[in-house]
Amino acid sequence: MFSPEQIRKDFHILEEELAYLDNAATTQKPDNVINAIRHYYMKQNSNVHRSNYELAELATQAFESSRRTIANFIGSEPEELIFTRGTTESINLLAYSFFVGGLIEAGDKIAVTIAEHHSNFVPWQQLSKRFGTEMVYVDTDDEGRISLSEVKKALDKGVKLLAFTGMSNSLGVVMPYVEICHLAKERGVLTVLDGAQLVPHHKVNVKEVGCDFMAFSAHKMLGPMGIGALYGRRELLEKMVPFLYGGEMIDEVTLEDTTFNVLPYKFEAGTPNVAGTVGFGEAIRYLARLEWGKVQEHVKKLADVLIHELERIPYVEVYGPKDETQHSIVSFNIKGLHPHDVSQYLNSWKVAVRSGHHCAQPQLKRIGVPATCRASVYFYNTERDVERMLEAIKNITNEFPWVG
Amino acid sequence: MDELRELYTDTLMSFYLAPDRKGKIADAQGLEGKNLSCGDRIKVFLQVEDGVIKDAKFTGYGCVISQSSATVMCRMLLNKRLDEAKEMIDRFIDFMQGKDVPEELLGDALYFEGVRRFPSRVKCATLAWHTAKELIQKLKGIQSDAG
Repeated sequence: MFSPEQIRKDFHILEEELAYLDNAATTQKPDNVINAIRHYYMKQNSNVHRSNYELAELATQAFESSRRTIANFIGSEPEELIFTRGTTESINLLAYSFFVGGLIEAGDKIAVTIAEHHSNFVPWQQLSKRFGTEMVYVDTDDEGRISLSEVKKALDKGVKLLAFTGMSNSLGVVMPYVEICHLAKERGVLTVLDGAQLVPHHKVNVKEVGCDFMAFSAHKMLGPMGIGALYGRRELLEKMVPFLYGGEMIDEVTLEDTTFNVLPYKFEAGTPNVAGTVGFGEAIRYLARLEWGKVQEHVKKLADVLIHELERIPYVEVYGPKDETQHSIVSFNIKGLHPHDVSQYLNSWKVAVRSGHHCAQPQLKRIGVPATCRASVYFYNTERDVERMLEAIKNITNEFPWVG
Repeated sequence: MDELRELYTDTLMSFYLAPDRKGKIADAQGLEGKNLSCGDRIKVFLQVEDGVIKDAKFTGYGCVISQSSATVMCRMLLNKRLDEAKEMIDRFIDFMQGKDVPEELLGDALYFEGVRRFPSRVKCATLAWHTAKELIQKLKGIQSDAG
């Protein structure tokens, strides 16, 4: 039985009187994740894959068990799951390795959508500036949706790689990612799926989706910060060159040359963030126990209430499609007031929302606003949180009388 | 709510609602400043004659804090010599960063005292001032080149 009230008891921080509605930035961590990290440092800490004493075995087991749990969660093989610092590093790893390893060359076309977070935009754009690849942009509509015809149009320009988000972080649009991957595959185009917002909300099986790569972050799905993953199709990862060189990732080093370790270690140079992976694995175990149908329904319902109630207030403008394609994230503005002032005001009501450009300036420019307020819901939020925010917005004219 | 009132005082709100220094100055030097965290932009224009600021205005989009602060700054810059203006700006930035500055030297900038308790908003209050400082340095460079 899915009960948000029950679930909140697993999150120490939610005992505070606060409507935490900034989950697209980072989620809160349940006690089991915090405890797992503490347990790791108290009982298992040592370096992984190096020594053969018992403690080292325990650390290695914890590390690899997390990898298996996470891989299983997204339907990949453990060898196809590389630990990184997060989505940003995963995408930078790809951009660097593709170019250095010759999988992408000067003159090649790379398509990205304008709905991207800067982390799936700037690495590709900089590649084009510095190494002469060519950018192809997939436009969204006025609500931030990507149409398959726009994707086709871009792909048919002869692109080699398409990097796109499964769910936009500024407007909460769930993209038709399965269909997009299918279109790309038909044309032999490599796909990089940014799963940072998608994976916390939708069960993604990478083999069923058919993406070549997927990047995601632990901290946006109950895990700790500073750890994330990159999934890559094995045969592609085999062909790629390492991103970082150093310890752990080598097979043999001589004065003349170095051969590299097998997957996934080839991409994991240096001592890894083992405690982070332990927390990440524990977060996934927590998520895997939930009834996902109920969770999605609950999140969708709360976000829909926000959208529809905000829309009824004359001085509020809500962005995004406001239909079944919008999930969890509600971007809005108060007429006559800057989003920073709105989020500061909401703070005085103990409501936490983000304001700004959400690291998605091309998308905001496309919908014609420099910044928005963004409320983002996760499954531990309740009607109370949403009501508190709505109540606050309805009273905003008391503090800022010129609004409206 | 009281805490909010410390930040959004009636005086600040009145500056925000009556932005009498807003607009461009034709033929004057302008410089754009950005707040990287929120993407806000402001452009400050200074018209200088014989080393004295004869007109100061700004354009741009921002929150109550950044816009009211820009208004106050432009008012205060009027008829100041460039070196005086720079001193005044440095004093305000120091004040906002929590340093001790004699209150009598701050003038209307003292109205922003409440913002100091909100570290994430200090950069809103100082955006116009940092931009003007950079512009003044540029203008001084031009002057000394000419001189």
